[in-house]
Amino acid sequence: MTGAGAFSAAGRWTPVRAAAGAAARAELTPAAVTRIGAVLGVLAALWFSSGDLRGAVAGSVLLGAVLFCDEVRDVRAGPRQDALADWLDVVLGRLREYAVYAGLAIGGVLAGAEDAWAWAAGALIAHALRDTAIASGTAGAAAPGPAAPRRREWSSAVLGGLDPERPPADPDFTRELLGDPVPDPGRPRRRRSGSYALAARPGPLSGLRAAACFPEPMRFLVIAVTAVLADVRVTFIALIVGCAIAVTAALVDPRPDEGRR
Amino acid sequence: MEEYPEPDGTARSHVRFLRDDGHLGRALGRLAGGALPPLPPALTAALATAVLLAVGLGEVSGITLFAPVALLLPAAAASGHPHGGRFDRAVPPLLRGTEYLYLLALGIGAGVPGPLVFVLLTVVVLHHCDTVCRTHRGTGRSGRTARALLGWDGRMLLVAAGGALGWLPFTYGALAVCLAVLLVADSVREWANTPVARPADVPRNERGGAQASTT
Repeated sequence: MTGAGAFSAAGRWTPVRAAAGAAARAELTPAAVTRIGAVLGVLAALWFSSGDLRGAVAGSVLLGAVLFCDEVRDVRAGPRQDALADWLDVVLGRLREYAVYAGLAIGGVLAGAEDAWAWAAGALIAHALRDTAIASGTAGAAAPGPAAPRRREWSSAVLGGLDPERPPADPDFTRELLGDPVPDPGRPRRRRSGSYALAARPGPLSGLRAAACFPEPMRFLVIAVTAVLADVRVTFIALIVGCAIAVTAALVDPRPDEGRR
Repeated sequence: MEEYPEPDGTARSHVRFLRDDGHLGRALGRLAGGALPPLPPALTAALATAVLLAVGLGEVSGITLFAPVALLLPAAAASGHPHGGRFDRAVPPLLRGTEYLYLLALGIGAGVPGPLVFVLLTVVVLHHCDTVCRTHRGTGRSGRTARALLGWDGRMLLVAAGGALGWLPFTYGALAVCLAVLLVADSVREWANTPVARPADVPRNERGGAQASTT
């Protein structure tokens, strides 16, 4: 769900595990952790809106806390999630980032950059196009391939005479007969984002591919560094350039596993 | 804007669903009968619109505000195409990018307050984000809501009309509020009624079938 896993390996970093354990003891659901992350994002936007160095530093720290919440949420989340909670994950993730853009624009206007809102809107557009390109590439790459017929042939050969085109059985009845499947401990607990999937793919270019997606941690890093060291216009230009690279990468090399953040 | 998935049920449906065509686009698509390939007109229209915006849309007024929308009509006419081409996945980003740039350039050029332009763009982007979520879920949108969301062509026409009449700030505000209300109401109702388990995430064995009975 999040791209944070590309750089911090969720579940292996002790503070994340400890925080996830504390969240479990406090009976905090993944959706609640998502909402906490959204609130932290809005707080970061409020700090950025001050337009001074202290606000930029505090906002950057809060952005780190947002990413930490994402990691905790991913560790807490099971393989299944409620449809509304899943939707809220995506929408709140967008909203908190756009709130940060708005906060940066307000801070920029206060600091004397009159065109900060236009640049913020440009960064928003670039981010939206990145998402659209990834989604379109996923849709295009998800076309039915030859794998499904091979599975049918295999099962038909094993079972002998079984109609390969027969409809699937009733899942509830199958579960009643066979019981719930035992989860494989080696399998990731949750489908992860594209950056995670790309980073996990072996090969010397996996890191470069993950970075080319311009995932959320990288965007937040760019925001934090440029907001502290430079003008907000530099922040928005860097975001636009990063998203343009991500759009190009998504259109040139679409990956079915690429994620939504 | 029709129910998802479309009858063919393939990945091409996703690309067509992501286009977010409005009434005019779908009508033109039916008229063309899917004979028009989608990428060339979208690319041409996007480039022409970008040039027009770069030249200075803020100086343009009246009926000429409709020029970018008119440039995009050939792309709308391709909405009936099955979108099975290798590069047809580039069409939704092109259409959306053109819509976003039009809203941004027209708003900034015509003196609409920057925060209002940003809010309208945010709402439109969230609407598109909701569309992407629906492609992942394989769920559609109710016909009434789909019609009310207007599609990219309807929104651009509405904003162009508001600009021609000199009501641009009001148009931006009203459009943002309408889209936000529709988005929240429809999404919450839809997602709250969607089953918890996502079929694509359920292991194959759990769905039953041949492999379930042998492993």
